[in-house]
Amino acid sequence: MAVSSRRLQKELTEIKTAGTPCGITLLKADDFQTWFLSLEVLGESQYKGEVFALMFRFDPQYPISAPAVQFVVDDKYKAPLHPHVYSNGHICASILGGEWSPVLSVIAVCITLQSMLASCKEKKRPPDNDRYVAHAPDNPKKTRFVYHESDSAAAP
Amino acid sequence: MSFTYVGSINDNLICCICRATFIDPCTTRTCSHTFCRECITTALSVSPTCPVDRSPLTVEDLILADPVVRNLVNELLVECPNKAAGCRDTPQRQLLDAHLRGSCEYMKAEDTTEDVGSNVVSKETLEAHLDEGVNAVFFISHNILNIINQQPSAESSAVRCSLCQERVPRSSLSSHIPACQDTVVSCTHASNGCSWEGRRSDLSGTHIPSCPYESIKGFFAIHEQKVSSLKAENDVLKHKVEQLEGLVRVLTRESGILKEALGPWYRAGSSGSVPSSSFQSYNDQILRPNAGYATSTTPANARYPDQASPFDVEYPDQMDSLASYFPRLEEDEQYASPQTSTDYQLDRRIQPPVLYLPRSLHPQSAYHVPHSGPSSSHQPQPPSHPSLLPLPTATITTSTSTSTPTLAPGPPPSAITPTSPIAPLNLSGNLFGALTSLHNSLTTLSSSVDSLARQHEVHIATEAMRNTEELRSLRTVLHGLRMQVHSIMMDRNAQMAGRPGGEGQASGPEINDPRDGPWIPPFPIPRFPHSSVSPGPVTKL
Repeated sequence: MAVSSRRLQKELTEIKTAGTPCGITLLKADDFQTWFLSLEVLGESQYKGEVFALMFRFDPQYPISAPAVQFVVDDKYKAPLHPHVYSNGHICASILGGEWSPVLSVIAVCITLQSMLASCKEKKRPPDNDRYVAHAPDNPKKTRFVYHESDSAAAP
Repeated sequence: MSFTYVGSINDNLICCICRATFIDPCTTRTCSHTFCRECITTALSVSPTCPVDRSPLTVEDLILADPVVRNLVNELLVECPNKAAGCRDTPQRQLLDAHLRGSCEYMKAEDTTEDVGSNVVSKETLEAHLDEGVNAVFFISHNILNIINQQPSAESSAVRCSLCQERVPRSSLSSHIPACQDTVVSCTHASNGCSWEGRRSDLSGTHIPSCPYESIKGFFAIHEQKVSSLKAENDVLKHKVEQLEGLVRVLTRESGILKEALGPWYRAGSSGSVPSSSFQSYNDQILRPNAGYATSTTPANARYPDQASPFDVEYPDQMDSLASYFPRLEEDEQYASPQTSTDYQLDRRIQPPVLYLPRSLHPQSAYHVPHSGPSSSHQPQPPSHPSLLPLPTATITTSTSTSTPTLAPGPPPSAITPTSPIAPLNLSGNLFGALTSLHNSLTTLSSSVDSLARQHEVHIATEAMRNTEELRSLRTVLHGLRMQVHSIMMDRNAQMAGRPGGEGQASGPEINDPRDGPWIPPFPIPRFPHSSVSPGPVTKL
């Protein structure tokens, strides 16, 4: 078994036994390549009542390498309107890039994204949204995001 | 390798990278976090930071985890991998290997050798053990072959000890061997150097009384004690040294980062006296009294190097580069000589009073007010430094308007511009000095911007006033012209009225009958009374 499979198996067992935090549910985890989780921001926030879906893609180096995480954009789900979320679902978050640590997990990423949405003051798209979405790669890990405190920009 | 643990594991024994129980745990020297050796090595190969707190970390900073942790992990109970075959044992993790080699009844047969019968339990590993040649085990080497005969489930069939030919039950064979009198042993003082070997029975009987090492065994004991205490001390010191080395590594790394961050301001070693001195010197420059302006810059330079000599070499350079930005000699004379000051005063009277800004506030700024006419020779020529603002070149033109003597002279708005020489960023000083100089430049810049804004306002106000005046005068002129025209027309009209048929019908309809209401002068052609030319059609206003 590859390292990633063992670790993902452990995470899956933990989810099955200990459950997920409030607002996060496991939608689909049939293999160790792609998982789907749903995300909802609880309490008073800009996104009250909205449900989003996250897609996690793992490579054999997980957890040493970060998973590819993006919001699902299809008939049922939309990408949230957030200065760090592009309209194709790609996310500009430091923990998914340079600040990833093997200590983090799928649940930890979900919680971080939940708090990122909850702390949003203004619902808007990133300033370079259209330019990025037009040339974006399929895998967000291929994008070299530039992380700012208040805004985000992508340098593909 | 993965184990199936019995019972629940304490969370503190779980590696946060693989989320499994520690395998060969090691702890970071710098931040005391524990991981499996393989996990942290792989993580460090990707990013040289601790996964928990992102502090800088390298493979050299990993040390063996605390023995307590190791023991806790090693003593965890695991299920035997042969559980499927039926083995229900749950040995400690550290003993699993031995269990599989020795006591697991459900191991599949690996190999058979010639002189033993059936099931062999990893004879190769046992023989490998033997090949390590431990002296203490040497004497049972022959008997091991007997043990190999032992069936896993065999209990108490008797075997013959190969040396003393005694029949011994198999189960107690292992306890017999250490006591067998015929086994070949070495002297008890072999560790101290005695090389005798012989049967155990001979050891106590014949060798010991004659062994030279026997008589000085007291010395050996004392010596051994000293050596062991020294060894312990040595170990402790080694450990400390390793810790300190690690700390030094981390510190050098950090100081390297700091060096890079400081850039040109990094100064190694004795920079204690320099910062204060350069700051003080800079202050001196700023607060140099205005009287100093009158003196040439050369004595100024000569003055400071005297002070500078005890300090750093770059000190005079700093002084020179800054001193050269002060106004030159010819400009200084401008302000020192009385006639220029009078002109200055004169012009100020003409101009709105707002222009005056006390020079004591801006010792570095030179206000070059354009002088009219004869004193234009004092027009300052700017030193050719790119950082200076452009000096005014226009002169005041005496007013051209005649109607309003109070009209302010109309210089182009750009003529009166305060100049504040901004010193360039001096990187040869220290960081504090550079920041202070930047701050001061900012102050002067902001004050000059303020005065610029004020003067701009003044310009706009004067411009507006001038325009109003001009407009007024133009209106008056226009009014006068209109009155002229009016009077002319009145005359003409009167004349027309005096000779009603004389001039001809052509002019008749063109002139309003005076009997019609208020008479409005026809527009635009003024008619001269002596002209006999009939005017064209005139549109009435």
